[in-house]
Amino acid sequence: MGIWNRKLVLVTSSAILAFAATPSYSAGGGGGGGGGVPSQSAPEYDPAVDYQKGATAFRAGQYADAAKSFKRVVGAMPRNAQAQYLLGASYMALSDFKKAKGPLTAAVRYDDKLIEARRDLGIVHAKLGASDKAGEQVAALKAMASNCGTGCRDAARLNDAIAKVEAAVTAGKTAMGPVAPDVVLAKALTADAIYVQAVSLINEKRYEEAIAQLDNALWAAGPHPDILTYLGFANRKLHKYDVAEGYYQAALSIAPKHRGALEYYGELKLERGNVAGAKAHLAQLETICGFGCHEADELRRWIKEAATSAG
Amino acid sequence: MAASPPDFLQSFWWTARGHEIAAATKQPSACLSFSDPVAKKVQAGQALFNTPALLGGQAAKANLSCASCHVNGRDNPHFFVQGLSKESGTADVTSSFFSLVRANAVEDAAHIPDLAKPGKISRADNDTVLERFIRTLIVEEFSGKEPSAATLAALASYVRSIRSCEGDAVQARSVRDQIALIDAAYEGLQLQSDPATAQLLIRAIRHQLGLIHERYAGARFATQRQVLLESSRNIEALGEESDVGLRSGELAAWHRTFKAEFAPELIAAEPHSLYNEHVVSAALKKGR
Repeated sequence: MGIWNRKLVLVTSSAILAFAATPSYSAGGGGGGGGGVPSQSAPEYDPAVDYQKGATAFRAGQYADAAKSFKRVVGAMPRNAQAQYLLGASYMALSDFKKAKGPLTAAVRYDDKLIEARRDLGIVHAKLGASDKAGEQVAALKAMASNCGTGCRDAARLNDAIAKVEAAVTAGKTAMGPVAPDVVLAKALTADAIYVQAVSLINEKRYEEAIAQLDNALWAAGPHPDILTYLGFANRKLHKYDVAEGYYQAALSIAPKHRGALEYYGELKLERGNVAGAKAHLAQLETICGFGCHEADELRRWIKEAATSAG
Repeated sequence: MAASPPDFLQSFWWTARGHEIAAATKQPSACLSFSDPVAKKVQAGQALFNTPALLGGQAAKANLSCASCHVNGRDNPHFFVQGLSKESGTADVTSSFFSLVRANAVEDAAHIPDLAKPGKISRADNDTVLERFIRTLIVEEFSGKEPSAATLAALASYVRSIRSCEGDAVQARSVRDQIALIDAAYEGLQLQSDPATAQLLIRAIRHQLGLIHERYAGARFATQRQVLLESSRNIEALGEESDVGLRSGELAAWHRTFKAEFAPELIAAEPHSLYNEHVVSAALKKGR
């Protein structure tokens, strides 16, 4: 009998003793999801849940409730441009432009291509009397429009945004009424379908389109680690390694044991020559995947192939 | 979502909303019909059929196996994945979500066929068209690695043996199902076929241990889960053992202990596990 088997018998015997010592079982005691799935543990705080609450309130026009939920999301995920924007938009709908300025500034910082965030930040600056700062947003939007060209998909949105900020500058501090949001949030129910489409596009190597789909899913479902992981993956395939790393880190900040993020981030580290980092990810996966998982298999294969090609 | 099944049973990812309790606690009945000489091959095939490691890509990441769609070798009226199904019991297996090779860029979810019924593919013993068809499914539809001839032969033997049963069309799910599949993989290993098939059968045992693990949730079963996890890790180490004789002996000792001492205790505790409809119902109420 080998060493491992002796150990196994010992563990088994103690387990059986524990069974015998338990006099009775109460109905329902085994439930509750305490065990979780074998190779995945739920995040301690799930910002997507609060995001959903915020989105539901936002759709219903209950902006104070929406702001409370989005505030919790950005507290945990300050780099989530969507939640920052929706927090700012909620404050704007409540006519609280001073409070709106911070999250809208953050939204623009973390996603400088977010047209609505630039537009609303410009409007907020105008309403607060900072026409020079509103002008900066107009200039940024005009630069985006210029790069975009007349026939591009965002041309109309950009021109509309520029017109609205310019109108707000003209109106100045006198127009302090609430600003009704014009962002329409898809229901989370569609997020799974969007996700499936995005992964399909990734498999077809249509990475830019996949990123657009995943951005839609991010708006609908909030900062879900699966969406963030595949945003990382698609950006990695476009060789935008820093962007990819940011998404993987965001996914792991929500769910530190996320199998996909650990695998793909490990592959990214390998691509950057960080073999030790990749091996550390594999060690984590092997700990998490007690019953085996594809992610550990794949990263193991990557590390082995990298070693073969290096040798 | 695919890469991280969020629920307490991983199968909920591919289960229609509102169908969770039925899917978790009931399954179509199946009776196997085969001759004694192929018994071990059928058992190996059944174990492989229930193993996600046979597949690749998104299917493997989501822990989907052949049996996710063909529960007990039959169909799955509860199967639903948004974006891949048009209604419960349907799946679009030519979506590029699973594989690019057979992707047809058309949303054409089809009803999952019942493998106990005659299909378009011949199941005749003297015709290898079934083996070729299964190979296409594994490699081209679900991004799996190229299966060995022994793996394909085992899977085809199992599929050829699937029959509907007299009497009840539906039966309760039980920890006995997982124990039987562990037995099936163990018996399949006795065939001593190629190393790739042996590795898959070892993964099959570990996967079934994982399925038991998720059903025995909560603090009261912490020790049992630990045993399951230790067993899986030990079997993983055994899978890397190059000495086939040593491996066989060690595995036989583990299997004897598992069957004689641990499996009966799991069966006795089953009413308090997530195999029980009331426990699943309570867990769903608590979790959602």
